[in-house]
Amino acid sequence: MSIFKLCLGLAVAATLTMLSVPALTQTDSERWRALEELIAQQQERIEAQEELLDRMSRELSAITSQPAPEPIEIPQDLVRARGANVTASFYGQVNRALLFYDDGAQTDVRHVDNDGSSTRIGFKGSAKASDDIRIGTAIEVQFESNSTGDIDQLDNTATIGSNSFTERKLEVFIDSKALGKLSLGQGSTASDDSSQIDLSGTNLVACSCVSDPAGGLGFVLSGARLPVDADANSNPDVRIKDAFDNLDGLSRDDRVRYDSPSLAGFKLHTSVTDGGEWDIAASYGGAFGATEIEGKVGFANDSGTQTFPEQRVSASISALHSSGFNLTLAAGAGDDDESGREEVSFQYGKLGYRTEALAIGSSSFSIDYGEYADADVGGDEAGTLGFGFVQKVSDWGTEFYTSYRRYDLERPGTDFDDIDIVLTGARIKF
Amino acid sequence: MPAILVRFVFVMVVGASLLACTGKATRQTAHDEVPEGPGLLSGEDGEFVILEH
Repeated sequence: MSIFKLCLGLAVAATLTMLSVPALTQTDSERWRALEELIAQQQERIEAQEELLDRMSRELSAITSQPAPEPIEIPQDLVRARGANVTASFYGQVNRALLFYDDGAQTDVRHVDNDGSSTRIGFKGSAKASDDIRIGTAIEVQFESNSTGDIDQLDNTATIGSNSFTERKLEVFIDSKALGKLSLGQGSTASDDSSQIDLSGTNLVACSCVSDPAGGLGFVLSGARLPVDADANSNPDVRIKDAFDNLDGLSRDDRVRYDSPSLAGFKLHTSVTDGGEWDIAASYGGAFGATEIEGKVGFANDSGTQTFPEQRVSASISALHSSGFNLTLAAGAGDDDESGREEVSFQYGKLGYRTEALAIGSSSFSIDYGEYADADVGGDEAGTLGFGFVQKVSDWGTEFYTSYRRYDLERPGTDFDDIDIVLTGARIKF
Repeated sequence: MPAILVRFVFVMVVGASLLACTGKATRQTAHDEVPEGPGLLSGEDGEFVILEH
């Protein structure tokens, strides 16, 4: 009996087990299938990534196997020109000083712009048209706050002068090595600088243009406190620049000008200005052994625009020896047949010394004397004595300077006090 | 001929005679122009070159 019961139990158990196994099997199967599917998906992704890595590796190999590209050249110019053989640049300088003066009645100090070489900026550009010809333009303007040519004793409360840019150069030119240079516009006339050739190194503070350091100051009658201002226009009647005229040609003007090519250092110049003034000049620059020489002579006819003088001639020459000693001479005369006035004239001489003793730059010293006659009114005799020093600092584009000058004016029937000045400052070229 | 012009011609003749014994030509300097040489900011060129081709 027991064996039968045992077998029956076993059969029932087996039956029950068999009936329950399909439930368990179905759940695990689904899970196995899910896992298998997941594994298959992961496998696909891995294979895809392997393929991608393989492709990237091939591409990288292709890149690294190529020769290195040429380095990119960064253009130096901020702007571009349409053509070749062109140049353009801008430049400038600032020239500021203190002007100490004693006019016989009072002493004072003014902050000035040195009219000998004013503060300015400029732009120039040119293009090479051929091997022989170059064409170009030049714009240069100055901005003088309290110019030494304008400052005087009568008004020291405000900035003197135009308080704005004023013209110096506004011109176009064609320059041929074989035929010379033709310029049109505002700029130096042919006779400009005919009185002011100077190799001394001190022309920043001392040249035949003796009125530049203090031209605006007025002569004071002995015993008076201020310069005479008879017409009450707040300008002295007799200024230094009125009494000391170095007859330096037609200066700058709106003109057409021609300069010849150089022939053994010799050049010819001529120009015609707006208004009908005209001038001719000759200049020379050469070296004779240990001595460098420059000179210029000019004749100008300004009857078209000026009452007196109708005609003027002026010349200057400067010699610089290798020892550093130098000599500068200048003279000129102006005449007007119709005015009846005395001929205006001047003579000027300067002895100087330049040395390179200091490593920073040249040191220049000078003493000069000049006589200027009949410039303002007939009978005037004006004289000046000056000392100048200029120290150049080459690496800085800078010149420090100081100078002393005395101006005296003798006029029949009038007793003017002498004017003493000291001008100290610096010119920086930027 | 005006006296002034006579003097001018005289100086021209004297100057032209220098040609007979002239030496090496040098560059002529102009008064009151911006001096040649390096500038404080622009360096050796003495000017700011905007373009140069």
